[in-house]
Amino acid sequence: MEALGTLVFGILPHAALAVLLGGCAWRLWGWAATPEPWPQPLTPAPAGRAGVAWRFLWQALAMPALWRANPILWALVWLLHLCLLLTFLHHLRLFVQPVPEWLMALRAPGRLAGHLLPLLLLILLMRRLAGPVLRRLSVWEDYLAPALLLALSLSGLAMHSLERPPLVEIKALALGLVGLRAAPSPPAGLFWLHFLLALGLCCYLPWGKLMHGAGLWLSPGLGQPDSLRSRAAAATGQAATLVQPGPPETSAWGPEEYRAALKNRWAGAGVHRVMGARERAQSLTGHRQWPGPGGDHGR
Amino acid sequence: MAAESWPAPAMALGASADQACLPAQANDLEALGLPEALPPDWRQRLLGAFGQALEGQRGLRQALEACVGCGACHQSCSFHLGTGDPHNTPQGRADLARRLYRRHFSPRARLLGRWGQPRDILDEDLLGLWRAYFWQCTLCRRCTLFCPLGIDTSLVTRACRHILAQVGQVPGHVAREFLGILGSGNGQGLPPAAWTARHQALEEELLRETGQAMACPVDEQGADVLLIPSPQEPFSQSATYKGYAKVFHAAGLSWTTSTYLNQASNPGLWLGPRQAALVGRRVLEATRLLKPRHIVVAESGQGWAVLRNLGAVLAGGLAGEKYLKAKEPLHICQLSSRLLKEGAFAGVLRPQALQGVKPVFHEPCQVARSGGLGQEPRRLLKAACLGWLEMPKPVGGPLTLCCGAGGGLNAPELYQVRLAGLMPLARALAQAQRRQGCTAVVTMCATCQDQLGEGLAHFGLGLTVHGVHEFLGQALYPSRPAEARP
Ligand code: SF4
Ligand code: SF4
Repeated sequence: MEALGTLVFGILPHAALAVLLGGCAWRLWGWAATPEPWPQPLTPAPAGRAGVAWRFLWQALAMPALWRANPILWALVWLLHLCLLLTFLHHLRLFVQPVPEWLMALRAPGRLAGHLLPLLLLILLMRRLAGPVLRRLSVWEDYLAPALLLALSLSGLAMHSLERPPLVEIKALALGLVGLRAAPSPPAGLFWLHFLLALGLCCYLPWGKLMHGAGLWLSPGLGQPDSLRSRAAAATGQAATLVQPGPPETSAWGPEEYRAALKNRWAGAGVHRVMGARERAQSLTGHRQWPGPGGDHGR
Repeated sequence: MAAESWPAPAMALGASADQACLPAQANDLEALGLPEALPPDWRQRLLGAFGQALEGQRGLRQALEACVGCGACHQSCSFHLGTGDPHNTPQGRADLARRLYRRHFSPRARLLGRWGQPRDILDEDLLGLWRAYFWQCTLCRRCTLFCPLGIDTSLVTRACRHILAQVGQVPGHVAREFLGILGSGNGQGLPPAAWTARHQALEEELLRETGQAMACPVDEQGADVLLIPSPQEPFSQSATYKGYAKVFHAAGLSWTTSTYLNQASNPGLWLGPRQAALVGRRVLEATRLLKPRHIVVAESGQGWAVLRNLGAVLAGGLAGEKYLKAKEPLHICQLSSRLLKEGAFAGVLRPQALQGVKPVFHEPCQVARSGGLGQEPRRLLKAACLGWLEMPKPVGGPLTLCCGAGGGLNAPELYQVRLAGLMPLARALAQAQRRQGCTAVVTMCATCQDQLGEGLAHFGLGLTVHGVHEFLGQALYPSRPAEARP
């Protein structure tokens, strides 16, 4: 029992944390290192970096796209993320000493969120099973992630309602984990299950779809500014290497053929040399001179 | 047939799996510099191209790796709404590529190898699904606006088309259109002589209709404007094309087209970056030979979006071309709207000419979501036509519905797919017709015009289809009634 306790509460948490941090870093690095060579901002797009940052923030916090698609789903999803945040903060109080005032104040909302969480997860799971199209397109991972969260939150709730959680020992354990000190294992009970499931979540999180939050920031449509400068910059970037011509292209109507045809035609019309823009303008007296773009163009 | 009684599609997986393009001929593939169809090592080639695309395109990785499978995008896609096929939802479409990703490139596949995985997922069946469903997407990007993560399924479609080309899986019509541009400057294979003759005929028609001598020049040097149109415009959409001539005439601008490139849209983008660049570079080459002061793209959705966003990438930028006044192409609506603001049409423009016409404005998807335009065409419509209407809010502006024909879906064999893709827009138009009494559709894309003309007749909507510049031209120099002509 002693050895098992050391394994579960002494070794596994550190291993899970390493997997969590390492996995997240690995995936984020992979994403960050992948270029997006094609400029394709989604109209209407902001022209500068600050505008793009606002656009992302608005998407992340208000989720206008989801609202557009389905207001009920929007409400459920928004509530789910809020509950996850509150639950996270609710647990945070175990890991700090002394507990700051504001964390203590969040205890009641945190408890409420803990009760709402399984309900919301169940509704979302039902929705996945009820929609014929969505069910067809779902794979086992689409069920795994909410199922894991559901098991985690149910075990947490059960721990509180079926038995009295050993809060003092848990707090000592949490503080020990933060401070890298050994702490005695809490007595056997539902807490063990809850704790192991949490470790499982840590290990799974970096690899699956729970990383979607970071995925938002990859969107080229939302993340690219739309300006003359950004488009010109792309021309010298990664994409330039993709569009390099291969072996010489043969074409029945290539630049040479076209030039020859033009020469022919000009010779026939008595024109022998290329007119510059200014000469052309002078030869067209009475023609209106359009000053060129400005104002609303050229963004 | 009332819009409500159009049959609702059955929600069947694979319902439109057999609606695929006819493949390209072997000699066309060779001319394209692409491998023969399904070379013996096609699996390795396809996986290699897939891996390369994943490493080089963040947008593709996002779509395959970050999707939560929430289904919020399902009802945004015209092709899902029209066919009812789950493979035609943005999620389902990306899922066809995600199957390969899961099996060969996901973290699990990389860490655990083949353990617990299906043995062979890349078979002819999957290839068949790719060939069907990546050509039932017009890359309209409507799904991006409904996805909470901003996932852009058009990037998956584009990347997978490029990957398919690497194993010789190219639709015949795209190959021919691309080779047509290399061979005669446009995908329809119109020879320069036919183009020039048509432009002479247009000048005569314009003189007869308006009583004004307006030029429709071809291959002239040093003009104010080099216009890059769609090849069908002078022919089947000549009312819009004449509108361009009228605008240039009213503003006193000289203009020309080039027989070296008389097609704005870029079918090379459906084959690969290199092929896209070959077409893109023709813009630069035509410009260098004709030395205009401005490059102006006519009413073409994809042509404008590609040239505006990717022009510099594909052709290397225009900064070195000293004769150009603007270092980027302009859209014809930008030009006209600027001319309008400067008063170039003062005294000539009479919106009364279009009295009684009540058009609803269909904004092409490529313009509304990728083209950086919005106010310009509306400003022109406001000036030219007193009674024009916007589409209803949920399908207006950036949320505009796709016409169902862009993105390389213009093959005869895809007729049913195009009709399915048009269905949601046709319903919205039927509603605008019934509730607001609109009598016509006005748009700004040659493909939209073709598709709406053909498709709305199929759905029995008695709406006529027009271009923005057709209306502007009518308000500038209206056609005289036949008996008043000389
Ligand atoms: S880009 Fe358009 S056609 Fe393609 S999946 Fe998205 S909504 Fe559908
Ligand atoms: S809306 Fe976005 S995240 Fe949801 S299923 Fe569609 S692509 Fe995936």
